[in-house]
Amino acid sequence: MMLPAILAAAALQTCPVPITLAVGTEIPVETREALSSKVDVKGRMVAMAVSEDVVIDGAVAIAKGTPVTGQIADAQATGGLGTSGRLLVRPLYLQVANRTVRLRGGTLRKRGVSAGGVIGLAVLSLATSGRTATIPAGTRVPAEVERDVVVERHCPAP
Amino acid sequence: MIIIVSLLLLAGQSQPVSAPLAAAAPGDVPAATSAAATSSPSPIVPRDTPVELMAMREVSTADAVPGTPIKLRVNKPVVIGGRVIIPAGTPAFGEVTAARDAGGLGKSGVMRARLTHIQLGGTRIPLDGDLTAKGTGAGAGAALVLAGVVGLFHRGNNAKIKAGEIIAGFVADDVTLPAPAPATLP
Repeated sequence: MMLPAILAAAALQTCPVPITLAVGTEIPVETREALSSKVDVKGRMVAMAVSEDVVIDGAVAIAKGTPVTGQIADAQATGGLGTSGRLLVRPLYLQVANRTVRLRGGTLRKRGVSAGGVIGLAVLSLATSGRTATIPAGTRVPAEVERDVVVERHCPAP
Repeated sequence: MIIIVSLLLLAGQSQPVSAPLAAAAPGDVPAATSAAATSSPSPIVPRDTPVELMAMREVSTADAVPGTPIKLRVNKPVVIGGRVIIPAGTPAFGEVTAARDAGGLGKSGVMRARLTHIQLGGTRIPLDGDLTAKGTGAGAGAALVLAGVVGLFHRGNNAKIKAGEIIAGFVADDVTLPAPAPATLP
């Protein structure tokens, strides 16, 4: 009885409807810049982006291409005693309509020699380039929502 | 009989009660955001606002013990609605929660720390974020992911947070700042 009235009110109020992104919702993320253990240092912020639309209940909650901020969680240049370079990158958060969506779980690790690593949600197999660890732009990094957040979903085109 | 009737009554009552509650929850959110956006006199720093911090001095397992404070500063101004709410340079703090010195036999140091707060004038803005530091050692990656770290510190045998290192944190709670906001900062 109440529901139709409330739905109508919501529709009148604003077109975007609130939608909840629950903890654990998978967000496909990819890097937007090439990273190398030769030049990049731990702590540097990294430009990333959502690589596919995140669809919840048939509506796009987070559009493909939404910028994601990530960080280099670890970087080690090639060492003297044959130590290979290391790179660890992880997505931190994205912002939609003034809401911050915190991300977790998607650390991508890259070593200079060993090709691949089981991290977070997926097995990634990566190309090696000498002993320097590199993460090319466009590398997929699995991520998921760290905390429930309500965002506004886009309305379907009329 | 009476029990069944009362149960039915209860069920009948709880229905209309829970429906508006559930419906009100999503409705509240836009109201809250619009309130935060329009209230210019006393700015609100919403929970989960990302904050970029920088470590001011090195903290190493060579001398750090649980409780050792970590001095940080805000590295990038936090801007909300076009206004600088937290200027760059604002002091921020963390503390070491666990530290194990690098031992002999190549045992690497391990340090855990957490961010505590930003001190903006008289206002304490709580921060959320963990740090894990580890000395040289292989196979650290998986453990780090499980710990959900903000940063991994990996050099030499001592685990350290280097001066100048960028650390990401988030505001832990909605904080209403006092009305005269520091808006006249660069």
